[in-house]
Parts: sequence; C-alpha cells; structure tokens
Amino acid sequence: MMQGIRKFWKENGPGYTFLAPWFVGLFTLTLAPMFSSLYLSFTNYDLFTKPDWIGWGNFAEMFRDPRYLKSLEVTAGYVFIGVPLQLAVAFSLALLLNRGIRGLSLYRAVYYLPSLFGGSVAIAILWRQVFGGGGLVSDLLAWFGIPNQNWIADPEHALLTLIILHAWQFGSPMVIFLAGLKQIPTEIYESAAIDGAGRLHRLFRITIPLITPIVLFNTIMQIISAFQAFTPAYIVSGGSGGPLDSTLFYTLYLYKKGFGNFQMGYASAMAWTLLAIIATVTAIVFLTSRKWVYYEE
Amino acid sequence: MRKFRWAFVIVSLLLVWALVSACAGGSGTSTTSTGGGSGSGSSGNAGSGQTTDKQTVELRVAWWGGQARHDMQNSLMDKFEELYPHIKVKREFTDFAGYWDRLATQTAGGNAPDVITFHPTYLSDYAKRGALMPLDDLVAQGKINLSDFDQAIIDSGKYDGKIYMVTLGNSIPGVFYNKKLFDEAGVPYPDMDWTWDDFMDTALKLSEKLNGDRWALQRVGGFNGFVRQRGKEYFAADGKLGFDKQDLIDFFNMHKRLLDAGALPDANTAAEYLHLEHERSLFGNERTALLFMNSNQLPIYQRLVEGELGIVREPVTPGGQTGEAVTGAYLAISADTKYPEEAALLIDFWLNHEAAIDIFKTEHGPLGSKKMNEYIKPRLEPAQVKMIEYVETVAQYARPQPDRPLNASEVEELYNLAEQAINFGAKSVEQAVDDFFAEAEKILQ
Repeated sequence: MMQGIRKFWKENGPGYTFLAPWFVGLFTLTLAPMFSSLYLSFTNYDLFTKPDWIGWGNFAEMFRDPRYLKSLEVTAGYVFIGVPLQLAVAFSLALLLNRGIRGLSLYRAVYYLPSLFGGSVAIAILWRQVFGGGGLVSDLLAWFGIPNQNWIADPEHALLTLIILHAWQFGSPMVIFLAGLKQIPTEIYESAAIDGAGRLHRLFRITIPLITPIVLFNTIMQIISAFQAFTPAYIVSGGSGGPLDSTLFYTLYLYKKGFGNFQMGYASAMAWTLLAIIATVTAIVFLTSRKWVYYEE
Repeated sequence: MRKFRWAFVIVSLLLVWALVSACAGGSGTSTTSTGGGSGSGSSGNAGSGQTTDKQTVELRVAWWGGQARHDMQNSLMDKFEELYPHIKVKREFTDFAGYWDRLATQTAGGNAPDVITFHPTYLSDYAKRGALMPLDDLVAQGKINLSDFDQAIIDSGKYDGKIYMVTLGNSIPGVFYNKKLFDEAGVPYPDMDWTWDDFMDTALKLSEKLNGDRWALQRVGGFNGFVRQRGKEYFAADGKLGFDKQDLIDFFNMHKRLLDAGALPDANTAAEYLHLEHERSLFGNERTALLFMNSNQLPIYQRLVEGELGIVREPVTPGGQTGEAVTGAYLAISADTKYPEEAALLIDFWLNHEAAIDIFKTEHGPLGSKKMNEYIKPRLEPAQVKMIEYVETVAQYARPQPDRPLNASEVEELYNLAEQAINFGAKSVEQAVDDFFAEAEKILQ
C-alpha cells in the first residue's frame, strides 16, 4: 500500500505540484461556493441571518411565480432565436472570408472585434444609445417612413434589440467555422466541379455536410453561454429587466431575487434549475445530432 | 526527479504565501460571515472598543447621489481628513438604484462600509437582520451628540426601540411646479392645499398647451399619502398591505385619465425615463411642469432648470386626514465595523461641525441639529430657503408611519410594473390591481 503511494507520487508528484495552485482555486473558488449554493437552494436564506431548511419549497415556489415563468420565456426566446441567428451570420461570413481574398487576416481580425467586447458594459451602453429614442437606428428607419421611436423602451421590441446584439457577436463561432472550412480537402470540390456540380450544389452537398460537426460544437457552446447572458439585459434595461419585464433574463431575475430582495435561497434554487435546464437542452442537441451530424470516416 | 526539485520548492513557497495572504485578508471579515449576522449582543463592544489613535485608520463611507453630490461630499471627506489626519476616508458612491444592490452584496460578504448613508425604505431589511449597529451607547456617551435634535427626529431613526440611524436632513414629499411652463400654458399656479380634483384640472389644462414632447407630468406620485388621507397605510402595522383594491383602482383611474388625455407621456417615454433622475429627467429638462418629489431635492432641480420652481403639498382629500410623513437620508454604522469610535467621530463631525455644514448645507433637507440650522440659514441659496420653509410649514401635518415590513421594496417594484402594464395597455386597471394584490400578498406573507 505504502509502496503504491510512493510509486504514484514518484511518477505524478511533480505534475500535481504544478497543478496545486489550480487545485486551490478549484476547491475554494469553484467547488466550495457551488456546494454551499446547492445547500442554500433548499433553505430560506436572506443573506444576513442563518439559513432555514425548507426542503423543496423554493423549487415548488418557482412554478407558481409568474415573473419566474416570464423570465424563462424571455430567456428561451433569446436563446432559440439569438443563437441560430448568430450562427447563420457567423457561417455566412466564414464562407465569404474563405475565398482567398487579399488581406484575409485583417478582415478576420475586424470581424472578430465585436466578440471581444460584445459582452462588455461599454457596448451595452452603446446599444442603449443606438436603439434608444432619437438614436442611430430610429433616425435611419425614419428615412424609410418608420416613425421615430425608442426600440428599447418598447416591450414588443426590446428583446429583439438584445437578440441583434447577440447575433452581432459572431466572431468566435466565425473563426471556428473558418478553421473548419479550411479542413475540407479541395480535391472533393475539384472532382465535384469536374462532374458538373454548380456552386449551390457544392455548398449543400459538400460544404454543409462536412461542416456539421463544427455546427454542433458551435451550437452547444453558444447555447450554454446564451442561457447565462446577463450584462446586456442589465445595462440596457437599467437593471430592471423592463419595460414590462420584456428583458427579464433568467440570470437578471436571479440577481434581483438574490441581491435586491434578499432571497438568496430562492436565487440558489434558480441557479441549480438553470444548470438542469442547460444540461437537458445540451443533451437533446446531442441526441438529435446523430441524425444530422456527418462524421467523415 | 532532480530537475524538478527547484520547481517543487518554488511552487510550494508560492502556495504557502498565497494561503497565508488569503487567510490574513480573510481574518478581518471572517467572523462576520460565520455568525456575526445573528446580532446577539454585538452592540456592547461599541463603547469598550480599543482606541487606535496615532495609528492610521482606514474608514469606509458609502453614499448615493448624482455628480454634484459626489463632488460636494468628496470635499466634505477631504475636510474631515484634514482635521483628523489619523483617519483616511475611503469613499464609495453610486446612484440610488445601484447603491442598494451593492450594499446588500457587501453586507452579505461581511464587507459592508463602516459608515453607511441610509434610507428609511431599507431600515427594516437591515436592522431586523442585525446588519446595523445600534447607536444608543455612542449617543449616550456623547460620541454622537444629538442634544440639539428634536426627540421626534431622533425617533424617526429608530427600529424596534433602538436608534439605528441618525438624520442628515429631513424631507417631506411635495409637488414641484415650474413657473415658466405654467406661465406659458396660462395656467394658474397650484395652491399650497390643493385637492386631487384641483390637481386633475391643472394637469389637464397644462396638457392642452404642452404637447409634442412635453407633458404636464411624468407620473402621478403620492400614493402613500393618498391612502393615508383615507385613514389607511401603505403597509399596515401587521406587515400586510394596509389599503384595499378600490383605493388603488381609484388612484390608477386618475393616472389612466391623464394618460388618455396626453397629460402623461406615452408608455415608451415613461419606461425610458422611469429611473432617470435630475439632469437626465424630464422635469430637469423642462419637458414636464409638475413633479412629485421629496422636498429636499428642490434646490437640486432648481439648479438644472431656467424657470423658477415652486413647491406645494401633495394634493389633499377634502375632509380626509393628512397624508404627510417625514422621510430623509440618514447615517448608520455597520454591525461589522472594526472602528466604531472613528465612525462615530465622522458622523458627529458631519452632523454638528460648522466646517462640515459649510460644505454640506441642507443637501438632504433641514438638518437634525437646530443649532446648525440657525447657523446655516443665512448662507443658503433661495431654493434651499424655500425648501426649508416648506418643511417647516408642512411638518405640522406629518404623522408617523408603522415600521415597514421585510421585502417592502419588492412590493414597490410591483407597483411600478402595474403602472407600466396600464401604460402599455397590456392590462386594464382592474386586472393590473388584481395581479398586484395577488403578488404583493404572496411577498408579504
């Protein structure tokens, strides 16, 4: 037994030693808060006094809370419209950039820029100006006879502006698509062209089937991050999720419950439910992927 | 293996250093996160706290406000540091809405500022949970001198019989009106004791002349006073809603009538400006003629607009009771502070020192100290004098209110949501009121 440990240490000791700082972070900054929030999700906890165990109460309460259900609806709209839109933009631009134009790396950098600061506070503030009353978008649309209005203060359109903001951050999936496109062997295109396949044919019969593994990867990564979006809604709505709760993202409502209304137990329960929702959606995407993802053997 | 040895030593040293520094950083606050929140007898150490003079003390102070107030209070803190060189004041300031999210986060982490600007709205949320230090001992020892304060003013900072906060200035809600816009519309100025009917007439008349992107007012305020005039309370003493559905229906019907007449801005504009104050608000840009607001803000708005501002009471109900209640901004000390003595020193300076009042003036309304009020009066601008006279006139009508229940601020958020639903035509008045009651009663259980 001792021998075994000594042998293990001899082989792996230095490795674990180098990993040690990361382990400290993992245990104190990730795992410990995670498990305390798991415990708190079964309690009534107001941040200042000791938590009270209430079992499944918080989870039951969620389904009777109309604002919670509203936040689910808003977030689902954001994810299921925003992500496909973003991936479509990313894919189209990747196709465009994959045609051996000059100065490609410059274009790549330029198109990647929005993703670098897209999630930041500064951009959310910019968005509020652009889509706000008398902003750039209103002025542009006014030329086409659409009355000047504040798109962000209108419950019908506020979420749409955030979806557009999300689609605008197409940079990182675009770069991944671009890498995928470069992997497709040119011989396939050449032989297809010789056989008389047109451009559209080549796109639908060669490019898209061969890129589906990348589509799967991008879809999953973007769904996971879109479910957790917080900053755009917080800044654009001034922290309220308004107007009329139309931008009340899941995480924003969670934050308001936890820090605004001192219901940290409920907020923790919401966080764990979100984890379950994301896991379920990801699992569904994986299961359906057998039907549409094509792996070259 | 040999070549790893040096790396091993270095990494181990780094780790030990990281751990030690993490512990050192944590030791100051760790007591609070484990059990300090229970508040059991932690007040006793205020008097016996060891003096730390000669040694530099870093005191954290938090306040909310706009840019003008930040500038003013920064120079106030500079003055304090100049007079007490052993104390360094670390300032934390933001706007009102962001202030409370931040304070809740800090308090939960055992990291609250030592001296906290406070508001009665949140007193129960914090005092009941033991996050604030009772100040009775410090007051009894004269470390915070309240001898020039009226008893009623001292009592307004109490919760459950103990002093948790002391006033920086008191305020009574009122209605501001912009004389320039009234003259332009040819509408007579409101009377001090105008009724809700007078108010409706005035707003409707204003809206005939002010149109386009100007309105009579942004929203109808004063619901708290409205229910009190009917002999009820917003929050009853038992912590439940103190008014009936019909009260809110009547109130929102006034709102709806003004909305339909174009006296209030359209739903989009109202949503856009809901939380914008001072230089960003509609009233601050002379786009509305009336504003329901706490009286202490009259000088702030007067500095922003061209037209002269007047102030009258919130509209009254003929034959009803008075609706006025005293509110204001206060100072509190965190239950977790390591420096209760220095915190008390700063508060006492702020309340009772001429050098402080020269800078602070009457930012939050007439001061608690009668002596300081007399001192500062000749040094004020006209709008500040007008504001003080208003409070002195109306103070006779003020009646105390019951302690607010936990989560009262969440109920007020629901109120805004109900109003917004009516604005956008998403709900009828009756439907919005029904939904408000259903949700509010659940929150206040």
